[in-house]
Amino acid sequence: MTSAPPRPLFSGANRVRIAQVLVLTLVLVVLVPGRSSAGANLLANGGLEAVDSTGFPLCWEKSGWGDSTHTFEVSKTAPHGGANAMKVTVAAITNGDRKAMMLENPSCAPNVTPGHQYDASVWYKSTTANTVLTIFRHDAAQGWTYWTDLATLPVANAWTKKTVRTPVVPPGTDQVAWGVTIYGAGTLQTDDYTFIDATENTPGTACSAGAACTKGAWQVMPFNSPVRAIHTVVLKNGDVLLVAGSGNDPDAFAQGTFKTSVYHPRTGTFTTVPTPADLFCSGHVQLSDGRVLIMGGNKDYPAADASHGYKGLRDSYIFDPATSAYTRVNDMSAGSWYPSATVMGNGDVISLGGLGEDSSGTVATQYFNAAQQRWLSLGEAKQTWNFWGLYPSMILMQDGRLFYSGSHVFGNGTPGTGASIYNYGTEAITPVGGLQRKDERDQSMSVLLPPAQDQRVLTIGGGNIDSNPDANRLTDIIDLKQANPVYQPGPLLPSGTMTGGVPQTATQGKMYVSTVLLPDGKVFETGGGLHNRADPVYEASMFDPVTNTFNAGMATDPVPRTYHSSAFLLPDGRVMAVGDNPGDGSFDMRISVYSPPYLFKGARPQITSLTGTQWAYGSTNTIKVDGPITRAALIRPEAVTHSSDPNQRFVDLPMTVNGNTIGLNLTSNPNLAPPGWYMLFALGTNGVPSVAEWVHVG
Amino acid sequence: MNRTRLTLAAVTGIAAIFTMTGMAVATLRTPTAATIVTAVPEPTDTTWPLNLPAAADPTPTTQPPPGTPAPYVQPFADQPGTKDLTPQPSPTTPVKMPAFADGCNHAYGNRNQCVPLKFPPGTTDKCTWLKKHGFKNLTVQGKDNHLLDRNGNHTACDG
Repeated sequence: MTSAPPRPLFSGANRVRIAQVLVLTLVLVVLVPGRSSAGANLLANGGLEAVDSTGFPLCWEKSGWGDSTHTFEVSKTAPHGGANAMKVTVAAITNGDRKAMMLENPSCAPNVTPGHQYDASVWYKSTTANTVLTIFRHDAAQGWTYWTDLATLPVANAWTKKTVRTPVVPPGTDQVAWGVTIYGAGTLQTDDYTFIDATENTPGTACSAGAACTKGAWQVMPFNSPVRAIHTVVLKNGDVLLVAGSGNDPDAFAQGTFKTSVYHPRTGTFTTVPTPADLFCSGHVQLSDGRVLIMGGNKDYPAADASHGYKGLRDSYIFDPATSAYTRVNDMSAGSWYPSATVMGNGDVISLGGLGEDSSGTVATQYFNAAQQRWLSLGEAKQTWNFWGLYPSMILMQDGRLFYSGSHVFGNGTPGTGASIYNYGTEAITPVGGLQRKDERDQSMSVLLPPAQDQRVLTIGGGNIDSNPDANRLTDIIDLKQANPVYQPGPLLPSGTMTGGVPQTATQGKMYVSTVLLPDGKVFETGGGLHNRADPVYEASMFDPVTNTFNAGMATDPVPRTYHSSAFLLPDGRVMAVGDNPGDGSFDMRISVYSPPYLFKGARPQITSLTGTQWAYGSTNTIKVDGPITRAALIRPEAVTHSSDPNQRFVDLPMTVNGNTIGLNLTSNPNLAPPGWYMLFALGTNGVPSVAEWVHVG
Repeated sequence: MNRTRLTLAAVTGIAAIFTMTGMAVATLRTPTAATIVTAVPEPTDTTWPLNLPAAADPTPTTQPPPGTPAPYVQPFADQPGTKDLTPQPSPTTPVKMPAFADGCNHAYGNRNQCVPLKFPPGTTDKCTWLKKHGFKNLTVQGKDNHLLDRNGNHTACDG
């Protein structure tokens, strides 16, 4: 028996065909422009080797702004690769920045595909940490526009590679351009730029949960809140502070019965907290160490004969989650009933508006110095003597100014209504136009849209408790990146139903609305009512900041949520809702919890390790995950009342990806992420978020 | 075949076309004038404290340690051409706010309750509206602006 000769794996003809295919593939990869393929560098002249007649690299330009003494040089001295590197030296700088930028034209800027993500890489040396990798995008409608800052590059004396993954490319984008910005005195050298499609495959999102797959689902808890949860603060340990004070109950006020409770979501239990004063109608915000600053409160209810109105306390307390106790700090400089509370980039707090001890409008700017742990006296704080109304929504901008969104509580044509920008440092207030029906935005809600880097604010709905019209469906969006920002009308709020399932009319919307930032970058809006403490509206939707559209028809909370209701994100990615205080004087103590659709779409990504929980501005922080993720973000825990939480924000963390080890690049700008404790979420490729890890910023 | 060379050749050619046709783009993003600083209004009311320490500034006074980046702030929203609001003088009279700032007429009910100052549009019968919204045994303790106490017994909607 003879054995046959071994058969070749490929015949000669096979080998020829394979060679033809390989050559053709290679030619197509090299010659076909604008096609993203994994591993291919999409940049033209990323090595800076080809130069024009002036000796400057082709497809690159000198870019920047401001007042500085600077030079651009194509360095031949020890480049990272080839013969050239880019050297930008800033000898002195007053303001602005400089960068070598890819030319924003069809030939040079890399083409991208919406929905994809890309790894931007550069080799660099820098004598200053004042650098940032900045990316612009070409939008079909807007042309070239700033997109975001991706990462700070630490000081490096030797050639160092920095790679950072872009966010998902928004719809309408066809090209991007980027460069490394230097904005401090020093020398920055760069070389061998690459830009590679790093899109992760999206697994199937099989969902067997029926309607919950697209609408989410509500669950009413089998226990009630022990207190009238008018003020709610998510604490750094994941518990929820529920503050009632007298709870809008004059009888409790008369008896000196003031209540606070801490809700423990993991166990469904509550801890009673002794409450030193009537903190009903106070303002509140988390300090940088996670304790909660409470300011003002209710000194008195109005008299039946209208001889006086509500009066504001000057008291202020700090609630410590570690001890579940209040500690008094010095009094504010003025009474504060319905004051705003905004934490600044340096951790201080500014409070504006409200009613004073004599029921008149508080015009003092009240400033809490975090380092000194005290309220400054009236003369120590800079004053404008402007009246801002009640619970004015004052949102911290990336340059440290405050944007008054026009969202407020109560009032009818009150001085100070409408939107504006307030500069505490210069005491300047500049009006901002475009807000529709400014006197019908009572208990609307404003939110800094995800990501905070995008500097856009959405204001939703509202009414007027005085003239009591039907609450409206209006939304307004403002882009604070514009030189002269003006609100633009957004899409109308989706219509809901009234009690008994009666559909709303085409013009009816809602006040008492809650907006909640979710870890997938969308905004969930829920709850609300049509009139002053009456007529709940059952409607919920998901706003997508990428497309500026509402996805209507989310599951609605079965519990009415009108006056004194709130909704907020829990660290596990669900949304909790509390409160309802209709005109008949009752208070709904039920708690409901919403599971968004993402919780029905597959396994949750796991953050398996975190190198540290103390994050410095401009740092890269390493986490490990159990699988590919598309996004990571910090969400500041809510401190909300009366549809007002100006501190709620979603801070993107551009990623440096090395398998399952992810470097998360935190902004260098504290105004984008004021110091404090944040919930860190990782978003899986299936769109499902992790449970939050807590990290401290600043 | 060297892909880099091919790409560079293509880039060079296209760039030359752009240069010849004047299509090359060289943008410098230039900011506008800095925000105008307004004068600090001086307190004029003797009830307000005078001669106090200088006002605090939110800008940190300490320099970051070496290697720590300074905050990178974008030149957004400079509002060129926008006029600041006229600074307010130190108040000598309070900003008057209505006693029933919450939109409730507290002349009615037990103070937990909120009879609206104005009934919603389309309300033809206030008592029917109140009944439908859960109000019972509604007392009238002050001025009966809504004319709900027709028999004068200090109880609304019972006669």
